[in-house]
Amino acid sequence: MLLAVTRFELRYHLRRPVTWIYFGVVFLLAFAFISTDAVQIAGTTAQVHENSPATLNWSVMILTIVGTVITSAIAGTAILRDFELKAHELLFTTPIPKSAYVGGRFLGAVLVTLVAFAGAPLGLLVGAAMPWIDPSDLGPVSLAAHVWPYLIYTVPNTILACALFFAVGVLTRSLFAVYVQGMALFIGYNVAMSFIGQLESETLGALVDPFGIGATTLVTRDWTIAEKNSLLVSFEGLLLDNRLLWLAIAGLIFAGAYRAFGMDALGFAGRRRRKAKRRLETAHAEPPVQILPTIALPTAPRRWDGAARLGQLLAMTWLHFRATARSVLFLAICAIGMIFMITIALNADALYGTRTYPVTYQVAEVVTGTFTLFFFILTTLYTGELVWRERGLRCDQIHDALPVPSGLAYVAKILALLGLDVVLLLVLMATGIMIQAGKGFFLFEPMVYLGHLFGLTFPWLVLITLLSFAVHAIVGSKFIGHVVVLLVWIAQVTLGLLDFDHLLWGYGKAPEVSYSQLNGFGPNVGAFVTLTATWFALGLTLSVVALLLLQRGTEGPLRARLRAARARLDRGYLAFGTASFVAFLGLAGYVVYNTNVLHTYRAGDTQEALRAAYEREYRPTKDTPQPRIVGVQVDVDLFPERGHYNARGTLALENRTDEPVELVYVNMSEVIDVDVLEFDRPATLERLDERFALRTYRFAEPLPPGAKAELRFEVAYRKEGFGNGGRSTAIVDNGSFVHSTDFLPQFGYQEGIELSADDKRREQGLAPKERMAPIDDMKARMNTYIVNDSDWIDFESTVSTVPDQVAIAPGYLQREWEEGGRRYFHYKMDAKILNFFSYLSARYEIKRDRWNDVAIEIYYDPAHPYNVDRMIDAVKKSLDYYTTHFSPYQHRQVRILEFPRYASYAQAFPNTVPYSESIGFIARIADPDEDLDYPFYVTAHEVAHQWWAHQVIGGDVQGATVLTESLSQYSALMVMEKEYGAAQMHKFLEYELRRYLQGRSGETKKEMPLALNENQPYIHYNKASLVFYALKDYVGEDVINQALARLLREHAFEGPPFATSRDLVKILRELTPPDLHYLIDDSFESIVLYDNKVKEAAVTPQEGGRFAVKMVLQVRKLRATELGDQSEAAMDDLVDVGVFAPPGPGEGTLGKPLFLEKRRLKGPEETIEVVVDAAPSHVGVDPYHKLIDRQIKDNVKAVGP
Amino acid sequence: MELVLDHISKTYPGGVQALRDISLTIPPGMFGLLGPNGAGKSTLMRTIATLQEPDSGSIRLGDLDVLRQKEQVRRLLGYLPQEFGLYPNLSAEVVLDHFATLKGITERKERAKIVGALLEQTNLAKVRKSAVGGFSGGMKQRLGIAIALLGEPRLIIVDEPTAGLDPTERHRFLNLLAEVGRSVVVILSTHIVEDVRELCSNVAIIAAGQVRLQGTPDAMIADLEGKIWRRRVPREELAALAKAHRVLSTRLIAGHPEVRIHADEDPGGGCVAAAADLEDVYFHNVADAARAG
Repeated sequence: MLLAVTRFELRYHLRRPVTWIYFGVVFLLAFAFISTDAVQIAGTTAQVHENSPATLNWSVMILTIVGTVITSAIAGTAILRDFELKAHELLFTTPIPKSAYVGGRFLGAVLVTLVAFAGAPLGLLVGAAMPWIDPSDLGPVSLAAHVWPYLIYTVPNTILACALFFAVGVLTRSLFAVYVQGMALFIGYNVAMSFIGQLESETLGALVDPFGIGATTLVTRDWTIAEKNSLLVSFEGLLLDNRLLWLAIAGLIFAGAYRAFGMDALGFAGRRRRKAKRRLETAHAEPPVQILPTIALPTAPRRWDGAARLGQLLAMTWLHFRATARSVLFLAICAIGMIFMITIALNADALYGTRTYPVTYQVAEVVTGTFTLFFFILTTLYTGELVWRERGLRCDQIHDALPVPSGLAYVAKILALLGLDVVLLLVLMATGIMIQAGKGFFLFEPMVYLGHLFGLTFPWLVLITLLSFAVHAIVGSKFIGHVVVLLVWIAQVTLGLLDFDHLLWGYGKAPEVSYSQLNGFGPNVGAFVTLTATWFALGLTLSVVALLLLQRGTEGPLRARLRAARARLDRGYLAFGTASFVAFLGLAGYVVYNTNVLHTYRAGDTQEALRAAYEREYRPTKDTPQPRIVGVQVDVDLFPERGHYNARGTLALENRTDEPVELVYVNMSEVIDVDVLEFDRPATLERLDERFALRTYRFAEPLPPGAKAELRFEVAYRKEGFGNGGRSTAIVDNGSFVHSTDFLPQFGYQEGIELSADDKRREQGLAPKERMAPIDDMKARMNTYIVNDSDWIDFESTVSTVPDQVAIAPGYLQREWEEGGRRYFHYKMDAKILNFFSYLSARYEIKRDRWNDVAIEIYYDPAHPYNVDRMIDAVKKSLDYYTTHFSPYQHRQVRILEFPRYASYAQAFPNTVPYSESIGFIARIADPDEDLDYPFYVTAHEVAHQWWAHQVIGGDVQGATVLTESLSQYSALMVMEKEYGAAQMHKFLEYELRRYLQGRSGETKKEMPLALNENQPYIHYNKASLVFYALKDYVGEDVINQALARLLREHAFEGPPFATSRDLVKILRELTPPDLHYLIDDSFESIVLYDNKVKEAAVTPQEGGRFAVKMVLQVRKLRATELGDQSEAAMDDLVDVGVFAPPGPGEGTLGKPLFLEKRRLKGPEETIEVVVDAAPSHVGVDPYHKLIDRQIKDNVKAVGP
Repeated sequence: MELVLDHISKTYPGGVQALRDISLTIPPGMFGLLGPNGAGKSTLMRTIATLQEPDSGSIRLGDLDVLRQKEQVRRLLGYLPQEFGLYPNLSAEVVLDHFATLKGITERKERAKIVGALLEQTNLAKVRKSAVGGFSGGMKQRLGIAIALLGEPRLIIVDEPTAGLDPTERHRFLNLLAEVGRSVVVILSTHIVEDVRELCSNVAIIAAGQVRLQGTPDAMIADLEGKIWRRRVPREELAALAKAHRVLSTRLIAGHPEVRIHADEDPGGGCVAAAADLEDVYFHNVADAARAG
């Protein structure tokens, strides 16, 4: 019987065209995933094959999730079909047992869904075989790699989803509820992912994600390129647990649904209503037959004027709003929204596990950001419900025969939906305030909430509501309406990826408005309003079309509606439609005027082609001798209120080559207006290449070697309006941060313009290119890796701004004055600096302090006083450590300057550190033992740059960043360890290890050893932290510091040629005992990972309260290639072996060491026996994970007493 | 105010010709539209109710062109479709009040008066606060007629209104209609001859999309007078009889079939002359269509 029902269900679905449409959609999506650039998931990079097992795995997994929409439709109809068709009474009176009916329907739904999803592996298989795919992007075809993800994701997820949809269908008897519940699944996933961002909660996250993405992320996030290209995800550990857990949950849910399902006329949900109905009928039994006396019905005036129409509009709006807002489903949606918001907001913006103060914009941004999808689904679903409400209730005929204009009913429904949005937004706002209060933060900013929720999100909601209503009305069917709405959004995303990236290519697109506490909603508000108005006009135009085509009465087919539309098209429609369309065209024209006339717009591929053209045409000029900048004197006027600035000054030049300089290539940023550009000697402008804002000058008399010259310039940034990406965030109302490179002329060929990604280069017909010059390229070493037209320069500058702001440039303030309603600051530097500086201006609060004779100044926003003292403390302790161990500080001042969160980094300029508001100013170090004090760490790192960058700087070759970033990392670690102790370091390093492993997994080209790294952040920051901390542990802090002091003695302010990482490694090697040289080699010259593990451990109590501990260790050392292929390496290395007491309060897993020693281990298996004085609770090999190890959890093992 | 249908035709995309050149003049008062299922009644009703476009022809209501001046017609229209639902979680009163607003009665007090009176008239006053979702078929139908009667309609169209009603409810319903129908055009579409006989002063019989007969019931019956014969027959002979004569209907009288035959002369075989009634007229006119169906 069960099989018979299943077979019937299968046959039913397989005969419906829609099943094959589902299959086709999945197939095409999969096909598009793999065979076009339009859809990119799974982080396929140039080195990871398009059809690598990892890519296939992600593709199938994502498709399965997207396909949940399909599952809901199939499973929903499977359980609800009989009720909708009112066939249930017929069916339930046949002798089908409940088990066969429900079980068969369920099995049938699962199988049919699986058939539809078979389109995923098939589409991927076929897509990869398309002739236009570059064979070098493909690996060998593996059938297993296609089938495997289908088995481990698609099958269990389908069973789970079907069970859930069945349960909801049984309980609510509503397809709409089934869809809403699909939304809840997505949110479960999002919640899980927010857990995975944090080390402590990632296991939990992996388990609670119903789709298994979280678990897969955890299992595969460290995969190297080679592994991605060859491995199947192993079905074990967390992933297995996750799958089993959710299958079990699916079983429970199905069992629950089965119990709740009743084979009676009303199934489950109808029971309550049926009772109510019976009560009603008995209470109001029909009175006896009577011929009623004729009562003349009262007459009432009827009105059709504007006020009456308004009344009707409000009545209909209220009716729809009330009916929806009071439904259980809407309450459920609100609840889902609140839960969603709380979980996301709780984990928002944590850095190294440390959270921030829950300032309003952060909480509000959960709504404007993560909630986008939530609102999108909600709008789509409710649009379908509302547009087709009367049809669903079968009162469409009554309604359509009413003397109410179609437009009025249509608008009422839109207003009702927007009203629901308002309610939801208010609920979310209240939730946000509760979250803030719950975290003990009471600085609510209602205007910031309102600005985000009703200034940013709500207008967008209006736009998408107009569009989806119009689509539904034009398409004329709920289901197809949903599909078309979905396709419209998919098409938009796809267009964006296909370089149709102009704002006007995407309905609803607008430049991003990002709130900063310094600068409010920032410079893009105007552009946002303009774009929103543009789309609103288009939305209205579409609405007019929709109203013309809206079905009224029973004429459904498009042809009939087109005929009706012609009849409907009266002067009102025509006028309104034309007006809104003209408004749209006008506004769109205004947008184009802004983006393409006032600013320059180039589509992604056009821009790439231009860069390729630059390379082709100007690469030959690369070695043409150019003058070098040796001094900069520049006066800058900032106009924050207008978003403009101008700069004028003189570059002191010198020919430091041994050839005469004849031609000078002067590059300017193309957004800069050049008013004056004038050499101090006769020179002709030979060519002005507008495409690159590149001027070629020829000296009348070539500049002989050693000769000096000057270039006087007057330039300005005076862009009006907005570009495709909005307005400049460099010069803004409060919190300007202008880089010297934004406006200063640069000389010679700019290699930075070249395309760097190999696949982009290939598209443009260029040969692949190395990221950086080889370490012994002497010519490249003649420049630092930061600028290529200057060495150390003298610097002097006057900067002016509005009177209520302070403007800062590197150097010492010589004089400050007001003149002509502007405030002037004159700065002068007393030491040579790199040609790399910046200007900041804002309404600052200033806190001053001193360390010896160094002035410390923190310029911060009055709303951000939280960590200013920590920063001052960090500056002092850093200066202390660095001057004691490295060399004297070259300046007499350290200034930290807050800038808006348009960027989130801190950057060290000479004696000046611009520091983003988002990476420390609002960090909340509630418990210094628990929370990592990252403002302290970031400050220490930036202060260290005054040595590592501003004293010693690497040449523009591989490994350059070791001398700047890696050494700053080490320096900051030392200062931090002194302040917070080793335990905090272990925690910090765990994050660094995580980031390193993930970084190498996301490598696009090749992983390099540290000393040869090619400006790869995961290497020069994260791996370097690990490597230097281990070195310090193995050879001693003193030795490292001696080495660094010597590096400074030998190379500070040196160059060209500039130093390289070799200089550092050489010194380190000299100072390290020979038996540890292997460590230097492993750390700097190759990629080494360990796989250490406690296999077994046993404790035997001995007399006298002592304990014998015996442990069996697995120790392996692996060497990895550039792409991450690993091979076993011979090992004879020192590794920590330890036995630990039970942890005390606040000690984490490991307590005090009872035994901790470095042992030389050869592996692969080592047995170690020690005797300790107290009862141990854990043993470990490399327990503090000082060595790089992909699996550190197994480094320690709990032991019984 | 008269409703004039002039050469209305409609063919559905599938090729089904639902209306063939229908011309009717409908004076104020109850007008019965009789026809078997599938005759095109509902299509015709929807067309008059501005919900559907005919392929050709015109419809005038007084001075109004129904096909062009839909909005004006709708202000005069009360329409009760054959099958309908209402917002299930709202009460009868709220539903009625809502529709009253939509029919232009925007003054709250006036609306309350009319809603109250209509609830009273349709005998729904006691359940005014109950959710419509719990209503029985008859209650729902009466609420439907209340909606149709809102706003002093001049043209009332009710499509198969008595289909799901028990005799009591049906009676009450027809009563109400008759009351309203004295001064306005009321089109009552049904396949139940009795409804029409009791109420309608004018009748049209349509079958297979065509008007077969139009007139007053009395005139129609008079035409058949003397041509109707009845006879009791054993079951076995029914088929043979149907071949030989024009059998209009077969009824069971106490378990025995009795046929009614249309013939100008006594068909013999024990036939007795019978008084013609409207049902005979109906069967006489739809017989061809029924046989074809």
